[in-house]
Amino acid sequence: MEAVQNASKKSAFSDYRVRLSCIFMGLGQLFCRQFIKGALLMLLEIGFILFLVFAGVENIIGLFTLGTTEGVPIMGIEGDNSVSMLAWGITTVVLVLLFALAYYANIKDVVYTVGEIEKGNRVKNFFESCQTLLNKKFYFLTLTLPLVFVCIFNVMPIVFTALVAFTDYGGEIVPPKLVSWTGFQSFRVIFTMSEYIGTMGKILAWNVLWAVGSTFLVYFGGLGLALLYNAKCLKWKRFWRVFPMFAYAIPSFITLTGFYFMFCDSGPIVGLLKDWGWVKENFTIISYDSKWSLRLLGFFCCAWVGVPSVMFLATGILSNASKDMYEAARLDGANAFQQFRYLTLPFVLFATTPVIISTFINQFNNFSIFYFLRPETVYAPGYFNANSSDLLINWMYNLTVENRLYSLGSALSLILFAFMALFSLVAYVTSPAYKKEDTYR
Amino acid sequence: MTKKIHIRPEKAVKTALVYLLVLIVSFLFAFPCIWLVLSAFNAEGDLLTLEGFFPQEYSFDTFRRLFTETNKYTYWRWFGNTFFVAAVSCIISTFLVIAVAYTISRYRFKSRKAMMKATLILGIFPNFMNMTALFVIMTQLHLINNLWGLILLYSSGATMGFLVQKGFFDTIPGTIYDAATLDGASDFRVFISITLPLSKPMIVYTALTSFVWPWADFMLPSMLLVDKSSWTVAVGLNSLDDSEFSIFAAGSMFVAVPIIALYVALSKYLIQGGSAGAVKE
Amino acid sequence: MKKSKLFCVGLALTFAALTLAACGERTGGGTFTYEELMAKFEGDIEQNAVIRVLDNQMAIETGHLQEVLDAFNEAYKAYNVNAVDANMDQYVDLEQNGPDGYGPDVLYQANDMLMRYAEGGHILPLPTEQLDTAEIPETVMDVYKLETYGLDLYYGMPVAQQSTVLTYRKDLLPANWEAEWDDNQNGVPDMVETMNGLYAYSKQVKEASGGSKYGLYMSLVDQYFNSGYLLSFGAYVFGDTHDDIGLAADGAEVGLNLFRDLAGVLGSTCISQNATTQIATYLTNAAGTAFCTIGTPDWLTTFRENLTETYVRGGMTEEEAEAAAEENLVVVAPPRLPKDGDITKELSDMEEETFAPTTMGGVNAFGISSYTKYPKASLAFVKFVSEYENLKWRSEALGAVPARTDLAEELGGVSEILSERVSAGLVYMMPSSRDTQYIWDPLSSLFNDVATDNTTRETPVYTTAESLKGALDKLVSDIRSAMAVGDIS
Repeated sequence: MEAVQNASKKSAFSDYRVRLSCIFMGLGQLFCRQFIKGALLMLLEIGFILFLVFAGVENIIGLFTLGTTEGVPIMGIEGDNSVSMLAWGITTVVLVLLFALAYYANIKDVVYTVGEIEKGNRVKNFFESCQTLLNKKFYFLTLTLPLVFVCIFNVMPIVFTALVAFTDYGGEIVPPKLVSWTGFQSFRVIFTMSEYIGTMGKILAWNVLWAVGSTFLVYFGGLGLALLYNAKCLKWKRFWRVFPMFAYAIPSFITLTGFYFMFCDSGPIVGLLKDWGWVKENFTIISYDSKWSLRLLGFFCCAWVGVPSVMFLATGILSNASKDMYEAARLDGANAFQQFRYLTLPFVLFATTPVIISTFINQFNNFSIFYFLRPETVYAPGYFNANSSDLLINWMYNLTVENRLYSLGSALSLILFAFMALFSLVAYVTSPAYKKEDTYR
Repeated sequence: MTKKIHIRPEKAVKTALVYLLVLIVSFLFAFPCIWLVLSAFNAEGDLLTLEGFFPQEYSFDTFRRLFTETNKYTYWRWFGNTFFVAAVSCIISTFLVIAVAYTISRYRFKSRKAMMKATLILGIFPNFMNMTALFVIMTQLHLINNLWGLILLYSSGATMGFLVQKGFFDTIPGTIYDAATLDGASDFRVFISITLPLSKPMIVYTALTSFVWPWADFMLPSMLLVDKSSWTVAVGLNSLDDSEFSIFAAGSMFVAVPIIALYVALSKYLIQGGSAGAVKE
Repeated sequence: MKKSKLFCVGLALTFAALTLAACGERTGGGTFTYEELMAKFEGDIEQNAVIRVLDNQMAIETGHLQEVLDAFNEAYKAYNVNAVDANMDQYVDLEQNGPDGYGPDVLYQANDMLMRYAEGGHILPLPTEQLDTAEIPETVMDVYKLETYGLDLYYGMPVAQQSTVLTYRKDLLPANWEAEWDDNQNGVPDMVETMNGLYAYSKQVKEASGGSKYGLYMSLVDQYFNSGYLLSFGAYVFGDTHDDIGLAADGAEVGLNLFRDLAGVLGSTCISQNATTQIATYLTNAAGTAFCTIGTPDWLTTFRENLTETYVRGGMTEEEAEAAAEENLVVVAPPRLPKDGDITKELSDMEEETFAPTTMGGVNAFGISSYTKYPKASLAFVKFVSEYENLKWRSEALGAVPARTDLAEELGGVSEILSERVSAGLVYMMPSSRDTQYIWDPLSSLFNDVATDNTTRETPVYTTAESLKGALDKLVSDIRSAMAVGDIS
């Protein structure tokens, strides 16, 4: 590295080969007698230029205009599809950036090669370069494919959503109609229309309460169970652990639908409670305006579904805890509670900070609980396109999928995203596990 | 020895308490499952015909209907689709996740930390939060109604969860690698001949979790599979009316039982794998 | 240093973008004549066309659709046309799937759905001169009319009418009904003739059975069936413009109060969209859980099948059971409502004190997707299914009430009842407009709210006419907000 930097400081760009590579990818490599590499790089640039000429430029213009001719499907006239233009525009921009990166790498490579030549070293041939890939740059090999996947299926949708938030896509404006850029209009609607701001306040408050409550419940429930199943006096541990395994293994869409049926008005629980005379005739758990009964049921179902996974995690961690530590504590006369309070808890807490964070995030975005527990789309009074048990993510679903208000839904998810990203980044970076990452090596 | 006799009554109470708690917990977890299974054998097929919790009359009629009334339920088709998606995603995901986790754990390169942070941020933005975007992208790629579209989504989604596996690889001491590298083995060889055998529990864990996600997922398929012939079990079962509760329960059994069996059989790996990764994520 | 450079480049790009976006001149589609619009239907049917037909769940489950497809393919063998079941969810969104080629070619939907697509340009205007529409009443045809390029174009071929009717089990009538439940001695049981009778009977059944049986059983939150109570007392959906939402018009609160009373006697198990899915079971099970229901006429087919099964299980032969099921399931017009809206009182003079209710109605039709590659073959299919004989076939197989008056007369029964109600102006056709989509969710929420008020709510709030009026005003403002947001977005 240092050599390269020195070389580049003095004379990197004065060398004709480096300059050639700056003008056209791969030219410099050719003059360094790296023919195959040079040719490949030149092909890449030619390909890229062709791409730009035939599609790229058009795509980028399309990204800005979002289409200029409106289609008339009833006449079979295909116009511009704003939405796909947006998608392809983004893709092209990404490709351009990637190409810029490749260009940069190409210059770096030629600078390095020239430096080697000046030092009198032999220039690597193509086969040797490939060898390096397998060895020193193994990471390049293994990460490329996953990176491409993640870019297409994870990053791209986020960018797309982020951009849609600044358009008027949705409602009546869907292809074949043309979508246009509207700046911060969607955010203005969310923050100024009384229906939205009121609904958002209520939902956000409940969402935070839910996330904190359910994380607490799931985490300590799991921990408690793990300790219980770890008790020395318990025989057939493997057998007993099969039961929580059920909850762990059954797909949640089945579990939650099952719970819905069990607790709904015509289900057995409400029926039996009424038969036994424990509740009034008008008792109901899941109904149109039930708020707290359904929320509590949500907590229960969430615990049923989530506790086992934390439990198994904690079981594994507890088995790692050193026995000597406990032995010493016992000799010192610490009782079981003290052992738990001063030994087990700090150890487990330390080891599972990331688990708490990820549980919190998952619970904050727990879509399925209330989606399955209130299967009907009914909106409670005081809520706009939402019900009292809905979390932000359910509301977003209502907006985008049920009501096709895409730009509003996107704006909402951006807000949600900013909120969550900030929270988890801070939590993660300040967690002990992150800071001490390398101390284990 | 004499001391022990002293503690005994106290200990007996404690033991009894533990067993009582364990019994309660086991009941809480087992009961809904048993209820669901029994409902599947309900002769009338409707939630409201239950007597208290349990059916008045048992029969195999629901299963007969599920498998023979192909105008309504193409169950084996759904099941085949689900299995295909889950199995292929499992193979691809496992491969990718292990490769990525190993790389990130073993190598130090410039954008490494940035990548980990980016993963973390992307991870809090689950795919279906971008449903509209995803739908548009999938239409552009002609992957609507296409099981491969789902497979790609699951694979890339699973890759995002590599931090657990990375945590595990971090626990393999670096000295092992150094020795092998000194012997002149290439990094690829080191990975194949040293790392992989050492990480069997982790691989089992990865394969299992990446099989179960597509197997049990509802949101993505319900969005991307328009054509009924490409439906998975989750989509199919959720399209049923409420009055077909028994059919739902019966259909669920074939989805849940294999997973339970797998989990129980592999519980050792599950416990080891999950915690190994979590401790030093 | 580097970062600020990047920032500058970004800024420059943004400006460039803004300029570019401003430059983008946009052109609309222009305007077309009728001949131009219909040109795609001219000439011979495409060879080897594959058309995907989306029909409702019932047509698929009964196997009717497959039979029709086979018959069509046979009839058009010369062109090697292959019509297939689109195999999609009944409510698949053409707007979302059509442009990308994943939608159906021919689709069977209600008018609010089809006309929403028509407004968006997703379905084709049909060459009505080629279709047999002479026997379809103008009110029905108008539902599919939309002005496009200054022309009155029709976007669907009406096949079936939907509105509400009452279906009851004759064998569940109390043995002494002629003495006890026929005050006006006209041979029609009071509980299926007036809402007051039905209310009283439901109450009696419920009390006698300890809540396990119902007189009337139906979903209390079904926007479509229950909006009739509002419409009967003077409400309307849209006036001359869509700014004029008339669901809170004077008198509507009387209807809403009537609904609230009804909800009180039906109970909380009916407060769920899903209550609808239980109806067939309740009405036809051996226990006779429900005596009657209010719903669409095509349910009758399912009811008959189920009741036959129940009878067979009870020991009858297949034939006896079928005959008995046909005999015992009776369809009548929806019960008359009291003029003062009080269903809890006993009527002294039925004719004088009640009136025939208005109900929400709709027309189901076949439409052709704009994105089809085979417009001619699709049109051929639409023509095929709208032939008299085939319409009759459909009506008989699915219990659908035909849109054609001559066919309705021939079929009699439900079809005739409904047809008469349409001609008497007692069926309020749901508006064929995109904006109609915004009324359903708020309406459902309103019915939920009011029904809950008289069943499970601790302290009821809708006990006065003013509060009910307030609920209706809120309904209108909710619809208005939804429409406004839909416009902005």
